[in-house]
Amino acid sequence: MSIKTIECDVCVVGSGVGGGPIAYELSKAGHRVIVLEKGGWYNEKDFKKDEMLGRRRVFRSKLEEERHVLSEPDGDGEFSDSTTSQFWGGNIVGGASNFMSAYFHRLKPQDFKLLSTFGPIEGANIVDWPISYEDLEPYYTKVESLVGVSGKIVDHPHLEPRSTPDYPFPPLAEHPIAAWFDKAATELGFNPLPMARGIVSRKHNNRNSCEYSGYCGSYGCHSGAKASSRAALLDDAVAGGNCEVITHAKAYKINTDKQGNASSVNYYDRNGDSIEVKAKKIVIACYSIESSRLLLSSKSESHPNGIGNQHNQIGKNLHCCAGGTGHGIFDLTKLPQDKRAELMIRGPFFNRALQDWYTIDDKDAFEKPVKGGTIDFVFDPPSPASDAMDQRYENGELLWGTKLKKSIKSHFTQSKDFKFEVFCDWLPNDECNVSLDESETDKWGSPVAKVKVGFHEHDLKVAQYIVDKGVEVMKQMGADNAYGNVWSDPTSNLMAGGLRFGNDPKTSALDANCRVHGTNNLYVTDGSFMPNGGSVTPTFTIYANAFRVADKILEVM
Amino acid sequence: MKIYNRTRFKQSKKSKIAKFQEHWTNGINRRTFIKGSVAASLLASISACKPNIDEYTKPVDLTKKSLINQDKDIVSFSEYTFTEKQHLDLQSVYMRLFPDDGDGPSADDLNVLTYLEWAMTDPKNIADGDPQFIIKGLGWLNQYTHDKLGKNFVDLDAETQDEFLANTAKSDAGRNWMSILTYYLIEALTLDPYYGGNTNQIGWKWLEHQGGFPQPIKGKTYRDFT
Repeated sequence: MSIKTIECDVCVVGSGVGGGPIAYELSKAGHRVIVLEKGGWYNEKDFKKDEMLGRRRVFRSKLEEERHVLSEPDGDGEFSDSTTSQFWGGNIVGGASNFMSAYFHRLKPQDFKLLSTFGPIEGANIVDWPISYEDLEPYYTKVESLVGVSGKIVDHPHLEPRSTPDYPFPPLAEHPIAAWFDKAATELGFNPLPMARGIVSRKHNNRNSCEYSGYCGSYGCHSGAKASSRAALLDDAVAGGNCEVITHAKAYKINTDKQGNASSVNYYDRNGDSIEVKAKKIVIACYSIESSRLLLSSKSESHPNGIGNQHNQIGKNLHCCAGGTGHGIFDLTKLPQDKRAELMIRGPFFNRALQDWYTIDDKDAFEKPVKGGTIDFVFDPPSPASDAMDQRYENGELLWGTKLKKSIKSHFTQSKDFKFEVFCDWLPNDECNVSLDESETDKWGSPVAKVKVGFHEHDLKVAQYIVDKGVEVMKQMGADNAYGNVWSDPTSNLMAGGLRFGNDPKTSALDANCRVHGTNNLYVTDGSFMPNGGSVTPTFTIYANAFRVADKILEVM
Repeated sequence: MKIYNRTRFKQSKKSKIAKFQEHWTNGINRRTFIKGSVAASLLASISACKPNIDEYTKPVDLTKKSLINQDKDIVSFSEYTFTEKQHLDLQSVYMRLFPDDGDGPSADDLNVLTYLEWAMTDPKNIADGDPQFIIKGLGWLNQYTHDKLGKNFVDLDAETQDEFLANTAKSDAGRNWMSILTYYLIEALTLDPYYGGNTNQIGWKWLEHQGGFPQPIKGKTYRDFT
C-alpha cells in the first residue's frame, strides 16, 4: 500500500516544551520544520475559566482511546498492574505546558554531579551528567528572556550561579499570605524566597501580562502570560513561515535506513490514514513515557529491539517527582475581619519557596550530607465543584438538607487551606522504567506503554525531613491545623528520564547532545534525557536543554 | 510545571498515581454505584411498579440531546428530558435536599431543574445512564410513599418528606439515587451560570467564591471541544 509522503528538513514529534524550542530555532534559521502533534490547536480564545473543561479532561487523552498500564508496588514486594490514563498531560498543541503552574526553578550544580558530590546509594542508579551546570546556564538565561520568566533573585546559601543579576520580568503580584510566610520563615531562621514563574508580568511580544484571574495552574491561560510552548514559541515559529504544525497527527513509528539512521516518521492523521514524513533530522519530544514507547515500537533490521536499544537502555531509569504535600488550615472565625479579608483574596500568587535543605547536612538525620529538596508554597487552582462534592459525605454518611448546606458553607467560608509541595529526587532504579505492554493496545492498534514505578526508600526519608520543615512553617504562620505527608506514589506529570543521556552507550540511551546512540540524526529533547530530575519541577530545565540541543543540531545541519 | 493534587488519590478507585495541584474530578463517587449489584437488582424491581407510576419506567428519549439551544445567554431547551410531573416531583425532592432554611440559596434559587435538564443532554451523563436512573428513582420513591401513605411524595408535608428521604438513604440504591441528585445540585451551585444553575452567581456569592474570567460563552463551552 502506498502512503502519502511529506518531506522537510526537521521533523519534531510533540509540540510541548521539548519540541517547541527545536521548531522555533531551526525554523528561524531557515530550515523547513514539521511538528507532529496528536492533539488540536487551541489558543487564548478557547481557554475559559470553566471547571468543566478539566472535569471532562477536554484537552487530554481519553482512557477509552489511549491507556497506560501502570505497574506499581503492592506493598508485599510484588508489583500489581492496572490501566490508567493519568499519565496524559495535554493532548493539545503546546502539550501539558498549557496547564502547568510554571514554577521555574533552575537546577543547581550538584544536580549535574549527584554521584561525585554525594556518593553512591545502594539500589539507586545515580550518575554524573555528561554536561555541567555551566553548559546549561546560558540556556536558562535564554529561556528567562525569550520564553519569559518573572521573579526576583534573593541571595541565599543555595543560590545557583547566574550570568545575569536578576530575572528579566519583575515578580508577579503577591497575595497577602506571602508576607505572613516571610515573617514566619524569618523567625525560624530560614531563607524565604520569591518563586520564579514561567508567567510574564508585563506584555511580551504578542502575549499580554498575567491578568490575575486566580484561575491558573490546570486552567489554560487566556492572556498568553503563561509560557506554554505554543504561546511562547510556536505561534511565532509558525508565523515565520518555515514551521508547520500538523495537528491530530499520531506518530507511531520511526523508520531507519540501512545504516541505522532515522529516515522518516509515520503518523496517523485524524482519519486514521498513515502518512510518512521524511526528514534529515528527527526530534522526539512526546513526554518521557511516550518517547521511550515510540523508540521501542520502532523496530527494524538495524534496530531489532527498537531504535537505540542495543544495550537495553531504552525506557530505563525513568523517574517521577518524589516528595510530599502539606497543609496549613486557618480557622477564619478566629481572625479579625481585616485578616480574614486578606486570606480570602483571590488573584495574586503565593509564590514562595524554601531551599534551605537543598543539601541536607544534619547528622541527627543522615550520617553524611545528602541531596535534599525544595518546598514550594502555592495555591491550588480553584475547583469549587470538586471541593463541594467532597463535602457530601461525612463519616460515610450522605449529607442532605441543612446538614449538607452547613457542611459546604463551612468549608468555603470558615477555614482557609494553604498548601505546600515538597520536591525531592526520585532516585532512578531498576524497578522504574517503561516497556511495551503485551496485552493492551491503543485505538490505533499499537501496544501501549507499561510504566513500572518502583521507588527507593531513601526518597521517603528525605521527603519526610523536608515535609516536617514545611509543617513547622505553617504552624509558625499561625495555622490552626498543620500536617503533611510524604508519597511513594508516582506523579502523573513531572515524569522524566527513561532515555537518559551519557557518554557510555552501555549505560545511557542518548549521547551528551541528546542524540540516540547508534544514530547520527535522531534526537530526544523532552525530559527523557535527565538522569535525575533535580529537586524542583523539571520544565524549566527541559526548555533550557531543548534550546541547547537546537544549537547542537544547527551545528550539523 | 504544574504539580497535581496528590490528595486526590485518597478518592481514587484503582490507581494511586500522585497528582498535584489539579482537581480533575472523574465522577467515580457518584457513578460506581450504578454498576453495583445491589443497585442493579433494586432497579430491576422497579419495573414491577404500579400502573400509576408507569411514566417513571419509560425509557428516556435520548434524541432530545440535539434539542439544546445555546442562542440565549444561558442554555435553554426546546424539549425536556423530564415530564412536567417529573419536574414537580424532582422539585419537591430537591427542596428537601437543599432547602430554603434561611442560610443561602435553596435548590429553586439555584435553578437546579434547568441545570439538571442541561446536564441530562450531556453525552457522558447519558452514557452513564443517569437520566433513566433519576426517573426510575422517582418511581421508586413514589411507590414507597404510596405503599405507606397512599400519596405521592409531592403531596406530603415537608416533615414527612424528610422522614421518607431519611429512610430512602438507608438503602444502598436509595442513597445512591439521592447522591446522584446532590451531585447535580452541587454542579448547579458551583459551576458557571452559563450552564443554567448558579443564577446570577448566587451560589458563588453565598460561598464567597470568586469566579474566574473569562467565563464560558456560546461556542466555547466544555461541550464545544468534545
